[in-house]
Amino acid sequence: MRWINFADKLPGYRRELVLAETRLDHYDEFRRFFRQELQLQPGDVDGGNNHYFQADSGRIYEVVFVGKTGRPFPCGLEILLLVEDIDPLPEDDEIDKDLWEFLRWIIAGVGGEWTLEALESTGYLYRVPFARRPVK
Amino acid sequence: MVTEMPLNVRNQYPFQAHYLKVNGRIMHYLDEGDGEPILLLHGNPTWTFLYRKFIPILVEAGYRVVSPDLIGLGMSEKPCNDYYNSLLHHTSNLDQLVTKLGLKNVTLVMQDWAGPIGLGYAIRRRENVKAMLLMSTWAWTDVSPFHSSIFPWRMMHAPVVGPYFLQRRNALTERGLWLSVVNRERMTDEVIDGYRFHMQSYDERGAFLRFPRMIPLGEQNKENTGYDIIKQIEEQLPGLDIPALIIWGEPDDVFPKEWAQRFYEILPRAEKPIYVKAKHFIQEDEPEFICQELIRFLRSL
Repeated sequence: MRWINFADKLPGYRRELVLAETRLDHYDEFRRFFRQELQLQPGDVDGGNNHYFQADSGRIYEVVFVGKTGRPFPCGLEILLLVEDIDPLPEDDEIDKDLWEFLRWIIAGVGGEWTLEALESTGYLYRVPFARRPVK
Repeated sequence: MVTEMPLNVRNQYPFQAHYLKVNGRIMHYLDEGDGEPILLLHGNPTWTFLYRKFIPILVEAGYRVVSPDLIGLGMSEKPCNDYYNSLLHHTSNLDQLVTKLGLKNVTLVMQDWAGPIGLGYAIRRRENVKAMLLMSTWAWTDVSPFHSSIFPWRMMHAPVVGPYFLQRRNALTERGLWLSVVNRERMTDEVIDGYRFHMQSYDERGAFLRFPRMIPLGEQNKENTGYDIIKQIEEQLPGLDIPALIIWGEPDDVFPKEWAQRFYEILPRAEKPIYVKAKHFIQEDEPEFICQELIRFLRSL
């Protein structure tokens, strides 16, 4: 996956919510990672930049960061798949494969005790088809 | 999402649905039989389907069996926000159910999250609780090895990763149940269908994520878990002089068997723990034995 920029708001696409996280601070290192990596500021909730990533499949997702009074920013995020016009939403597994790339990017960035090996092993144990078999 | 219960689920779960409103939310519950009330309480990611094999045995033995679905799970309302799912919410909901049904002298059967919820009720309503059965649960702020480990538990509910595993992939239902029983040949597709049925969509599965995040991790991350509330329960357990039966799985890799002994040593009127060949979802592994022990225990009081 890679982060991409758009000059406009992408007319002609609709946004489909595929994942929502309301407690990005449940383990605060995740919130701090996003804040630092994407240079987010509390004022971004009032007209900040849009954030898009493109999965290896070519599909484009917008990541919307959520702020709430009384909570550190960003307290949550929403991942929205951009779907052209009235095209159908892809199958769940296709979206899950894209999101797995996003999860790998997050875990690699958060680091510390949060390892890619632990992510892949958890995925493998719970039968995520894109997860790699752990090395014994 | 409202869908008709498939025949293969209905055949396993032939009970009449009842509904009432608790704290503004619609709670589904079962109410079968006549006699002294036994409350069968489930945790995450299950619903009253978990007790489908208990109900006929206990009804046949002359008890009234009441079993609610936690708000957010099963056939109860599933709000799409974070503000319904705390230990205090669920304990208050249980209190409402008992009050509205006029249940007196109840026996609480508890496993997983039902432990802190039911014990929280028992501490506050001591006079209305006849007896307790504790299975694979906890009521303290220190953490089991399973819950403290990154792989798989903490990874599975980490930010962003959690909604992926627990809501999009439905990992606990599709795989976790199977991993946490001994008798895996009993966990057929038909049985898993029973657990899938009422949690079919992403939005319906929010509680699957919210419950794991309430589990205290000791002093770590205490502001984001149910630490303070469980601490209150933990401090009051030694004074909870209610007859208690403890049945635990061996090997239980979620709540270690030593925690059965720990309940026995803390609760003043507990019987020595009974160990059975089971894992966390002990109700799937040993339903008949547990019911017979519960009946024996209640008749001895």
